[in-house]
Amino acid sequence: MLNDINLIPQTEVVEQKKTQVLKSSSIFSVILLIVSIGVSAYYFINLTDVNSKIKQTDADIEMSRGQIRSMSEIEVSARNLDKKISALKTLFNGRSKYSLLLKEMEARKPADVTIQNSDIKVGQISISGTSGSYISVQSYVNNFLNKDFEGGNPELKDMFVDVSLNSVSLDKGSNSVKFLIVVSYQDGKLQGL
Amino acid sequence: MQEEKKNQINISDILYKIKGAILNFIIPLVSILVTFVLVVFYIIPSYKDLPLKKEELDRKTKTKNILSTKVADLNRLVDFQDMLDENLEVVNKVLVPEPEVPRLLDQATQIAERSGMSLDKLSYSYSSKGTSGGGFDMITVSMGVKANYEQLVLFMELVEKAARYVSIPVFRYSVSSKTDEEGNLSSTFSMDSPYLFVQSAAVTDDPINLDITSSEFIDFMEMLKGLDYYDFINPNIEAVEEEPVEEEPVELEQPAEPVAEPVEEPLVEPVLPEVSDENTETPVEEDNLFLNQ
Repeated sequence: MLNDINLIPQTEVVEQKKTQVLKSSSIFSVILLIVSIGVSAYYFINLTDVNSKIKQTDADIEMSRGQIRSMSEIEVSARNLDKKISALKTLFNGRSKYSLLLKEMEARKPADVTIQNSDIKVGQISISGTSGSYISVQSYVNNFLNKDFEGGNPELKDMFVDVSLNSVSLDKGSNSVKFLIVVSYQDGKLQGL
Repeated sequence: MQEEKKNQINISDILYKIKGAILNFIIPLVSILVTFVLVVFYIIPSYKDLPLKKEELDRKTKTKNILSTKVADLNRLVDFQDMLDENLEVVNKVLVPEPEVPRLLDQATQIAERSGMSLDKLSYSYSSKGTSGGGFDMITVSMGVKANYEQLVLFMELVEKAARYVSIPVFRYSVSSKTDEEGNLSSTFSMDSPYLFVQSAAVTDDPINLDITSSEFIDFMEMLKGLDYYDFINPNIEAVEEEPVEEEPVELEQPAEPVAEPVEEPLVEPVLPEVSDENTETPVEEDNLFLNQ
């Protein structure tokens, strides 16, 4: 019970609390100051470091630019060559090798089929000719679409995608069959070979 | 004596108050003021500035690296200058900077002769875009020739191997009407030859993508060097210059109904019916039916 009795006057208690609050606020403000000085020092060191690196990099860049400018003639030659090479690669990669197409057409042609006219453009061939029989015409059409055709270029086995028989007529004078077919082919297969 | 004691007490009381004021008022006030000044005028701007500066440093470091690489590349190109000039010369022969029409006509004529063709017609025209793709200026050479099928194939092969780049977007051939030239074909070609003039500028900060020591580049140059180069032997080839015409597609026969699947087993050869007329048109549908039976 004796412990509960506080003989210190109330005014003194208030005074002591005031002093404590003042003391702790002072300590807090000083700690705040120290922390802010620390953070400032951190930023100062970092910024100084980054700024000095930027200056050094700027100097290096200027030096490199000077060296590059002194070799501008060779740079122009290299750029010209690069542009032409790029253009040529585009051209060569996009060029269709019609020699291969002609060989493939000939390879797939039955012996008794004779081509009278042929128009060849990108992706489509129109062929008119004569044949000894209907069977040969049929065989010619089938050969175009036969993906396992032997005797042709293996790389071009599936080049022909569609064959349309537009007309067939009988030439009584020569006892031959006249035909007109339109062949669709994948032009890309002839490129880059 | 009492007076003196009282004065001493007063002085120590004043000193105590001053000390209290300094400790409890001035130091915290100054601390807070300095903290405020540091935060507002240094820490916050630095906080905002530091990432920007780091970004700037990164950017400049990248530029520096690009330029360093470029310097190294250029130094290598200086070492290989002869090779560079030689390659540029080769490339300029394949993709010429000017139309050089007589040289192209001469090349076309030489190819035709080499493949054993007889040249019937030769003309040329200028066009801004060829059918072979790209936005190149083109010279289009039209040729009419007489040849057999093998010569035609050989001609195509020679064109594909010719040093000056030529492509054939469209061609047609038909059996010659002359009966004494059995097996000969009358053929017409349209040959596109692009030309490209390039004049680059030195752009200091842009890297050079050309690596003349790479295997891809060396292989490509070897391919170009392996092409057939034709000497300019006949500058006076006569050829008609045609007006550039809007490109019209060659009219091909439109396909009829496609033959869907190849017939594996052909039927027995049909007996051709005897008809009094010389030519008897058989309807397409009937033939298709017949062929697909």
